[in-house]
Parts: sequence; C-alpha cells; structure tokens
Amino acid sequence: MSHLFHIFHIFRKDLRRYWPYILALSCLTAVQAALYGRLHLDFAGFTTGSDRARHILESALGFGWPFLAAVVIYEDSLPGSTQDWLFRPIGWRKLLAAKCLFVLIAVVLPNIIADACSVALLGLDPFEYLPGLLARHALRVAGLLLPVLAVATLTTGIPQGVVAIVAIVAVQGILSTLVESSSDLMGGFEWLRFMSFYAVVAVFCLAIVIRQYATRLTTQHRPALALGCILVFFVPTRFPASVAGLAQRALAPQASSPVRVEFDSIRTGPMAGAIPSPIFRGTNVVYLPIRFDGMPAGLQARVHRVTVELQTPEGQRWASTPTRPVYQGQDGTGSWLAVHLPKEFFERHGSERIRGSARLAVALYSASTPATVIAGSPPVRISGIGLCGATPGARHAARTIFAWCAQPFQQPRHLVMTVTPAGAPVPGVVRSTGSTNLFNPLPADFDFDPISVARVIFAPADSEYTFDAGVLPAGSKLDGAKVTITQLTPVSLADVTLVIPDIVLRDHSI
Amino acid sequence: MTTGPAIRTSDLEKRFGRNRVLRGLDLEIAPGSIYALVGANGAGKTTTLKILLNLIRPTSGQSSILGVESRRITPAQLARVGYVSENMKLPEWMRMDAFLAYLKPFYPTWDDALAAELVQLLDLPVGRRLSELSRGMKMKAALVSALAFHPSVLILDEPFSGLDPMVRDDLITAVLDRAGETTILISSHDLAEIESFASHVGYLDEGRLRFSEEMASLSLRFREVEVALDAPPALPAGWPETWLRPETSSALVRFVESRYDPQRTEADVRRLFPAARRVEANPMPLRAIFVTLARSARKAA
Repeated sequence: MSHLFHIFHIFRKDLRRYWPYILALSCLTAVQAALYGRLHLDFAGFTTGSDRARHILESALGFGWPFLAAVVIYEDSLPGSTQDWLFRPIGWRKLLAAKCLFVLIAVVLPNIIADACSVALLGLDPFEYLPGLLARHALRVAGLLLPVLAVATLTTGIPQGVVAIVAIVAVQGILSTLVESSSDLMGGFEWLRFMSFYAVVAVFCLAIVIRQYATRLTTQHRPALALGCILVFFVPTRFPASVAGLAQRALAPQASSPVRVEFDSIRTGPMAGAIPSPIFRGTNVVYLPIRFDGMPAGLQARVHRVTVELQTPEGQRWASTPTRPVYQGQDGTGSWLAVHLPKEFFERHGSERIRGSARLAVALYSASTPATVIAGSPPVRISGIGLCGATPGARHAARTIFAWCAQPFQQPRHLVMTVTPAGAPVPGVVRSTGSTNLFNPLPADFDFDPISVARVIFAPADSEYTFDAGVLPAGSKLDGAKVTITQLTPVSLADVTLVIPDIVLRDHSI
Repeated sequence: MTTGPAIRTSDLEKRFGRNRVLRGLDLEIAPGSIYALVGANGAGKTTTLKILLNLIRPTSGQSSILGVESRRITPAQLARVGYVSENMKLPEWMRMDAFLAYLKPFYPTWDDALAAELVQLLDLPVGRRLSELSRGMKMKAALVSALAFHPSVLILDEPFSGLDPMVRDDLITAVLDRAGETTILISSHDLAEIESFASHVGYLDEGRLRFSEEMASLSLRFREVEVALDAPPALPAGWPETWLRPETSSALVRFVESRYDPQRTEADVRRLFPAARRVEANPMPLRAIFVTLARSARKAA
C-alpha cells in the first residue's frame, strides 16, 4: 500500500512541477485534433492552405511531448551522485514506476484523447476503433518515447540529451547512406521489418532504462546505447526474408483447400494494354497468363510475392528475386504474371522453348458486405472501415471522381472500389487500394495524423486525367455515380507452385 | 538495532582512472559518537562518505552502515540515515514547506513537531522557494530535512564550507541537539568548529587513515614541546620518529610530540638535550595538530 502511495506521491510532485507545460501542450494538441478532424471532414483528405499551421503544430508537438517525458526523468536524474533523491529512502523501482505513470498519464493519455476526438469529429465512434488507437500509441511509445527515456536516463540534462539525440540521428543518417537496404519482398509481411525494428528498439531501450535505474552504471550503459543505436539500424535494412516465411506460418492460417495456380495456355500473347516502362530499362518483361483454380466460394485471391525460376534446354537456370508482379488484365481477361528478365538472358534464350516454375504467396481474402456511397452526396460512415465518400471534381477537374475512405489509426486497408456512372450498365470499373499489412497483429499507423485516407481516382476515357485512374467509359455522368466499397480481409495464406510448361518467351513479351 | 559499529569500512579502495583516491581505508565509528573525518583537499573524505551511502561504488573493499553493507543498502536503512553535503542538489523549484511535506511520507519516523522546531531554530522562511535561498539557508534546509526523522546516523560532508559564523553556529547548535540519539560523521576543513563538539577524530591523508581516535586522547597525545638551551642547538642523532616538525632558533628547539607521555617525553628530551635549561609541553588546538600532520606527511612524501 505504501509503495503505491509513494509512487503516486512522486507522480503528484512531478505533476505539480510540470502542470503548466502539460496544459500548454494539451491545448496545442486539442487544436491539432480539431485541425485533423476538420481537414478530413471538409476536404476529404486533400492538403489545403491550413497545412502550414498543421506542420508547425506537428513539429512543436513532436518535439514538445518527448521533451516533457525527458525533463521528468531529469527531475530526478540518474547520472551523478549529488541528486537529493539518491540519499532519500526512495527505491529505484518506486521512482521508475512514478516516472512511467507520469509518461502514461501526462504524455500518452492526452494524445490518446486527442486522437479519439479527431475521430469523433468525423462522426465516428472512437470506441469502435479502440484496438487500433491503443496499438498506435503502443508503437509511439516503443519507437519514440522509450528511446527518448533511455537517452534521458543516461544524460544529466537537456543540453547533454539534445547532443546525444543529435548524435544518434547523425549516426543513423550516416549508416543509411553507407548501408544499402535489402529490398526483398516478403509477401505482404513487409511490416515485419518495421515492427521488428520497433520491437527491438523498445526491448533494448526498456532494458537500458531499467538497468540504469537499478544500477546507475552510466559509464557502462552509455557505450551500450551507442552500440545499440548502430546495431538496431540493421534490423529493418538487413531483415532476413526467410524470417518472413516463419512469420507466415506462425501468423497466417494456411488455406484449408489450397488454391491452385496454373498456366493458362488458352490465352496467348502479352497482356493487353501493357506498355514498356523506362523503370525496367535493362530488362525484358514477359507476361505469363495464369489462372487461379480451386478458389473457395466467396473468397478472392491476391498474390503478395513471386519467385520465378526458368531453365533453358541446355540446362542453364535463371531465378528471380522475390517480386510482386501479378496484374489483372485491363480487358478483364484474367491474371498475368510479369517476369522481368535480364536483357542478355532474353536475347540468348527468348526464342527457345523454356520451362520452369514459380512460387507464389497467395492470400485469400473474404469480402465485406458492399457499402455504397453516391458521388456528390455527403460522406457515409461504414462500420469497420471509417468515413467514406465520393467527390466529383477532385484535382480541380470536373471530369473525375475521387473515391476515398478515411480510416482511423491504421495504415490504409485493402479496399475494392467500384464506380458505376449514373445510368451506366453494371458492372462498373473496379480499382483497389493495396495493403502490405497482411496478418499484422498491430497494423497501426505511426504518422502524426491519426486518420489515414485510401484514395482512388476515376476518370472518363475522354478526360485528361486518366493517368493512374480507373478509366470510366467516355462521356460518363459523374454526379450521382454509385461507388461500391468493399473491404477485403485476409483469411489465409498459402505458398503455391506454378508449373511453367514449355514456352517461348518472345511469344509473351511486349 | 545494531550492536557493532554504526559505520565501518574495511580495506576500502577507490580509483578514478589512474587516480587512487582511497588506499585500504579501515574505519570504525561507534554508535552515538560524533566523528570528525579531517584531511586535506583530495584526501578522500567525500569519496568515503559517498561510498558509505552507495552513491558511488568502491573499487574494492567493503563498507557498511548500521550493520548493512553499503552496496545492499535499502530504502528502509536510508530512512534512518540523514545526509547533508555542500554539493547536494535540492529540488530548488519547491518551496521550503512543500519540500518537507514531500519528504515526510518516505520517513516512518518523521516528526512534524521537530521539523517545525528546527525550522524556527534555524529561522528558515518556509514560504520561499529553495532557489531563492542563500547558500547558508539551503544548508539549513538540507539539515532540517536530514534531522526531522530522528536519524540513527547523520552524515555531513563539509557542511560549514563557505558559511558565515552565524550560520555555522546555527548548524552546530542544531546538530548538537541531536547528539546522543544519532551517530554523526562529519567531514570538514573547519577544524576549530569540529574541535568544539567532535568526540572522535580521524585524519585521512591521500586515501589512508593516519589516525582515528577519541578527541580527548588526541588532545592528550599531541604536545608542542619547547626546549630552552644555553647555546645554539643542533638536532642530535637518534631523533624520535614521533617528534614532528622540529625547529631550531638561537637557543630554542621546538617540535611536536605525537605520542606525548609526561615522564617518557621529559626523559627523552633530557637524554637528547642534556644541557636543556627548561622543557615545556603545551596542549595544541586541533587545527595545529592537523597542520603538523599534513606538513609532516607532505615532507615524508
């Protein structure tokens, strides 16, 4: 009982010291929350003239809250031997608990409330999104506050702390210029890089904080922190793709009736509408027609990673790095697997009969009940997704529809949006927003803005804004167009082998 | 309750890099005593006190306070130990009364009446922030916070350094009022004040404890001896090691006897100076003893 009382007693002392600071930051955070709420409500996610005020606030608060967490540590600092608390009967556990309580109540809680208010301003119920809200703040504690606390426990005050943080940022900057990041795709599990980074940072910083409070061996812990800052850089940049396979097996239920992927020999020639891209200079792209069989009823398949291996008649092999090149043909004829072959390999073997295989990580998704919004009508709250709307005239062009969903606390989820212009026959034109958050248990967003927006542009074929847009029939009537929104939720993941029969590469190249 | 020494160190060593600050310090302080740890700057006094309170770690050796090894000292033991240092950093943003109110819950034996009495005795302005107090006032505030819970041990690190005589008197009065119920360990250069109330004294020199004994026996042990002769003297061979800082003038020899015994010292003087006309042995103040020891040690080094 007295332990709890002492913890609360120290907490109250810090609160009495810093309440004006907390109040000022809370007021600014409230303004920011209002700005975020208004931004998404008024402009449907477009950046506006209020951006400058928003960025100033984000910078001030992005610095202010961690600063508050640091100064409360400095209030009873750890390095040195002259601080009053050291020779008082205040155990390190009580002191640490009191500081943690302060960070949770005075730093984290106001931000949680502000985020909840931003969502409420959109007319959404924050409690419906509570797991995402808590996950978002767990990530912010792990990735931002714990490193600041670790630095604060090892430094004597703000000047030394600022020098340490500048040094850490500089080291990370230098490493990022020296070390090339691994670009291996991990089949929808790219989030592992960053989540493992946050996890390692959190565990490491927590260990530093606890050890420092327990022992105050500052001269040992400072080099440990410096070394940790260097090593932790390699977690996301050198994350082994093989670990993604383990995570897939651990986190994703394997499909009960495995999907088969087969080479579709009925379709020939390259994918209609495919054009050479300057991005892939030095390669030749071969589009292989593929077909998904054995699909369980009501589910849709998405490919998240492909590895292709080809073998020439002479036995020469070529294997791709993991990529994600499966496209839906624009003519609605089916799926195509794009293989980027080195020019040299293509020139030598393009006319030979080549066989091979591909490994595809295929995720199956269940689709939510479709919800409909009408272009030009007020946004609609869609349970489980957020606030969705369709705004004609986006990009300052009257001949477009901007379909969007504001989703609280999460990176944009996998949504399928289908636009049917007023008076046009169904089915309409389909576009989807992607997600690399497959089976992520904490798909939270680390951004300042608690609301992320998934956006898709649709434009009639006779519009000048068709680039990267879902192309509607020329002359489509946009006002009153019906936008159907469906959320795809992954239910299983399976590694599927595609057997590539004897093919001539040139037959499928553009 | 501990029955042994209130404070003990055994073969205590402390190095800061290549600098050896403590060299096998052995120290015992009996419960209820007022122990003055004296020594020149850099002798290792503050380091010793900080090791006792587990504020810093020794390189080797052991130290204990109230029967508990310093490294294992817990909040329960710290609730019985008061500490005041010239370098301590108080929470200066607090008002004096808020500071005492903040500390009170941590000390089961906190005595509000005693705290109020001490505040009044030391004439502390309770409504002012600690940052607004003078250095002397801050020391008084620290002393109140260290005495208000009836500590079993009170450790004072250079508490009088740089303070005016009035403040010193106030502090000494406050400390002396607690004598008896509290074992007091005080490190100080202010030998004149210490002499007036210390029951024991230890002399620390370059990390070594040169002596540690009761103040009364120290006063008895040291004498300034003056030998009057008829002719200009020369220091004889066989000069005793316990005779420190010999000085000669036209017909006088002066030295400090550090193992004074009336009969033996007189006999030794007569043996070495058969022509001595007069031999006088005068008591020495602590300051003079300290200076003698410090200079002798420096000369020996």
